[in-house]
Amino acid sequence: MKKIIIFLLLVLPFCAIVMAQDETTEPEAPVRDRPVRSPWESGYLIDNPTSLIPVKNTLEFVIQHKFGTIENGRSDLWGLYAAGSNIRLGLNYVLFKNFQVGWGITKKNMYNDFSARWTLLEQTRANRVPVSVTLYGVMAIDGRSQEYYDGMRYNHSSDPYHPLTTYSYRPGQRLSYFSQLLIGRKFSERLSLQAGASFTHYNLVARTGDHDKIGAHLGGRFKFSPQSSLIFNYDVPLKIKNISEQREWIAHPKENLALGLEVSTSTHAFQIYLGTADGIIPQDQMLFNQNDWKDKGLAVGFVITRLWNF
Amino acid sequence: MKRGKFAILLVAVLLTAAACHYDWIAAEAAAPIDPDQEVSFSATILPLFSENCTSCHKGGGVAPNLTPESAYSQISTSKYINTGSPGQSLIYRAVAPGMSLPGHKTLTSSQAALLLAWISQGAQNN
Ligand code: HEC
Repeated sequence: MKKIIIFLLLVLPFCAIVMAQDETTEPEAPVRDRPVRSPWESGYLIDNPTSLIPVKNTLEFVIQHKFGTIENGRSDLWGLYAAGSNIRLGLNYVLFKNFQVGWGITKKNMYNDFSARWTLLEQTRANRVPVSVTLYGVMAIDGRSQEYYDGMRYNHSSDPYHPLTTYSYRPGQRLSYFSQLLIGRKFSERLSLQAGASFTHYNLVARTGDHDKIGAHLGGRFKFSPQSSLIFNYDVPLKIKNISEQREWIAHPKENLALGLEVSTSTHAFQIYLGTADGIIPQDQMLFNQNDWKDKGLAVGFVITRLWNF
Repeated sequence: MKRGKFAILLVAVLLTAAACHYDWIAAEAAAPIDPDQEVSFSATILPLFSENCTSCHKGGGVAPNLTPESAYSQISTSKYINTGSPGQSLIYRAVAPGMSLPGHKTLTSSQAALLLAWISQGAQNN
C-alpha cells in the first residue's frame, strides 16, 4: 500500500508533462475571464517555486546562494566569509504555456537536478477561478565521486540496523525525488500567499533517517512599493509515525524559515533573505536540514533570476 | 502523436518505479561477516551469552535461561528464533543495537552480527 502511494506521488508531476502537451494542442477557448496580473514577481519565492511561469519559450537563468550561518558573528562576517556556503546555478525553459522544465547543479553533494513545474490553474481577475494550482517535481542525482560511495557499506534490508551488510553499491542510491502541490492566491495588489504539501523520497539514507517525508509549506509576499516586497517561506517536514521507519525521532529534519526582501523588474528578480536550510534543492531541505532558526541556525542567502525571451 | 505521449508516460513511469530503493548506509563499526563463514553455537554464541547475559538470564532468574547447559533448549523455539526472517528473532531483536528492548542490555553491532549470522545459518547446536 505504502509503495503504491509513493509511486503515485512520484509519478504525478511526470504525468503533467503529458497532460500539458494535450492542452496546447487544443484550440484556445474564447477569453472571458483572464488570469490575474503578476500574482508573484518571479518563479521563485526564496526556496519554493510559485505559480508564475513566464510566456512560452522563455529561458530563465537562476543563481541561488546561501552563505554560512550567522552564529560566529564578526569573526567570519556573519557567515558571509564562512566555509559552509552553498550555491546552485540553474536554467529553466518554458516548453508550453504554463509548463516549465529546469536543470541545475548544486555545490552541496554536487546534486544535478531535473525539474518540471506546471501551473494547471491560474487565478482569474473576475474570480471564476479563485486560486492558482501548481505541480512541481524534482529528480536529483547525487553527483559526488565514486570514491565517496565506494568508501561505505550498504544495507538493502528494511531494518536500518541489520548487521549483515555485505551488500554493495547500486547507482540508484544516488537518486532522490520531490513532488509538491501548491495552491496560491493573490489577495490584493499587495498580498499574495501560497500553501502546499510535498512528498520527498531518498533512495539512500543513514540508519537514523527516513527515506520518505511529507512536508507542509507556506509562503507569501507583501508588496510595499511597485518594485519591492517583503517575502517569506516556511517549510515543515512533518513527523508522521506511519511513514517513518524509525522508532523514535532522532535528528528529525528541522523546519525551514526564511524572511527576505525582493526587488524586481520585468526580466530580473533579486531576493535577499535570512533563512534556515543550508540545502537548496527542496528534497535536501526536507530531509537533511539540521539548522534551527531558534538556535542561531540562520544564514544570509540570495536568489537572482534573469529572463530571456525567444 | 498519441503514441508518442504514451511512450513518454511509460518511460516516466518505468524510470520512477524502477529507481525506487529503500537502502541504508550501514554502520561502520560492524565488522563485515563473511556469509560463508560458519558461526558456531558452542564456540561463539555461548561465550557471548555468558559474558553479557547470564548475570540476569540464569536458572531462577529472568527467562530465557542462557547458561551453557540450558541456553540451546531454552531459545530453540519459534518464540525466540525465526530462521525464515532472522532479523525478526526475539533473541536478536532484544539485544541488537538500536532495536533492543527499552532499557535492556545491548550488544555491540559486531556481536549482534554474529548472533544474526548464527540464526541465518539455521540456528544449529554446533
Ligand atoms: C541486567 C539484566 C539483564 C541482562 C544483562 C540481559 N537481560 Fe535480557 N532481559 C532482562 C529483563 C529484566 C527482561 C524482561 C523485561 C523486559 O522484557 O524488558 C529481559 C528480557 C529478555 C528477552 C525477552 C524475553 C521474553 O521472553 O520476552 C530476551 C530475548 C533477552 N532478554 C535476551 C537477552 C540477551 C541475549 C542478553 C545478553 C546479550 C540479555 N538478555 C541480557 C534483563 C537482562
